[in-house]
Amino acid sequence: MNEGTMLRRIRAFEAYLQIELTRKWALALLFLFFLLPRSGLLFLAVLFFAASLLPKDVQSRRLSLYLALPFTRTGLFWCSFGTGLLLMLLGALISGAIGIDPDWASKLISMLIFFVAYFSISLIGAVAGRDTLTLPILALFTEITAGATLRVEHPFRAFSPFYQEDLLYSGLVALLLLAAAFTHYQIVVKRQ
Amino acid sequence: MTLIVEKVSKRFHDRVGLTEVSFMTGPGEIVAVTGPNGAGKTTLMRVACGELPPSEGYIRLDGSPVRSFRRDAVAFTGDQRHVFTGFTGYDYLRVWKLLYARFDDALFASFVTRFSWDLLSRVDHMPLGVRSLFLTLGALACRPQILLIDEPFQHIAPIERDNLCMILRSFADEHRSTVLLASTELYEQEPIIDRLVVLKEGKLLFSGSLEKARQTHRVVPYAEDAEGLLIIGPVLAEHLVFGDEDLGREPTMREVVTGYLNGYSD
Repeated sequence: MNEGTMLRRIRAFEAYLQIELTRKWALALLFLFFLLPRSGLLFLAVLFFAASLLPKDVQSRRLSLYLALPFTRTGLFWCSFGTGLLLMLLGALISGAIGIDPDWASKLISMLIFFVAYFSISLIGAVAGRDTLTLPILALFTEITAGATLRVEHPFRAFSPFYQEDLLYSGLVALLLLAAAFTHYQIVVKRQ
Repeated sequence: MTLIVEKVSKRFHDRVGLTEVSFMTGPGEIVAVTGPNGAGKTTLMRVACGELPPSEGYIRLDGSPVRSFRRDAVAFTGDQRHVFTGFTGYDYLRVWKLLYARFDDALFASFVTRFSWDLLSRVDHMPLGVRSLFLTLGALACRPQILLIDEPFQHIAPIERDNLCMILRSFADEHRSTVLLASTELYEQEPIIDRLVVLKEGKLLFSGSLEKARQTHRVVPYAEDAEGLLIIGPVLAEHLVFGDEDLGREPTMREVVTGYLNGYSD
């Protein structure tokens, strides 16, 4: 990638970030939740946060507003995903810096895995024409109840993006979900 | 910049948007893409700006496929004039400056002064005519090589339409940029149009230079007068025919368009 292309991408990301933070007040409010220690409330906040990014624009058919500007569909996917990662990183860093959560680094990894998984699930739902929250909430409910009824050493809990008994396996599940969401998004949204 | 549209088709789930549409435009040309509602004008604009991939065929800008071409060479204003909720004029300005490396600050500032825009006010709260002009001229200040405007004059007052026409003409002439205007009705703007593309039901009925279209078509009162010439279609009580014989009279752009739209056959 040459310097010009790299610079254009950075500027496109900056423009995207600006659009998102101007348009979506909820994003800014949810961002405050990242300052909380790792808790059930934080997981729920991350779920809502993930759903308010690209999945929300797909559901409300607002992609054309971005595509009228020099954004591509693929670029939008990565800009939105990057916005999520960046805000979570900032939240965790601030949370660590002001001493709310001294264990901010492990919280960040855990929240990133959860974010990747639930961003993907929400996007899969939105691309399929559903709303952005039903599928993720169903998935989270299934994860919590299934995990609660299983033994602690059951592999499900190792792979689960909520329980994350094994960070590597749950991270792999999150990345597989991301790949599925990206493919689904590319195929379906291009057809529209 | 040369824009080549080659056998472009676009199919959606339940309908066909475009069928094998081909035409070419040259640098500095203003092109009128016209036809009735549902003709495929908006689809063509969305495909040309790279928002929609064509189902078949390709669009090239100076030989490069539009999708691999730098997107900031193309600026598009959609027909609905939808805007980002809560965005002020300044917010748009900041985004345009970030996304379009060639954004012309001085030109944009001259529009702000000329049309008395308040950049602190929300664009979604602007009257439709003002919003339409703001988005169109903002896209123009991005200094694209291809400027695509869907329904460029809708909601705009007559005096400002004339101003917009002059601005578009000088933009195309000075920067050698191609301007595509899509609308059901562009007859008032005939003096600034160089090229005409007529679509109906997703199919191309006519494309070519407007001047040449005037020279190669005639309007005759009776079809029988045009023996041996190709009769295109009725135009009110007269007929548009193809040929440069010294018959009838030279057609206007409106007559070329309606003649093809009312055409006797494909």
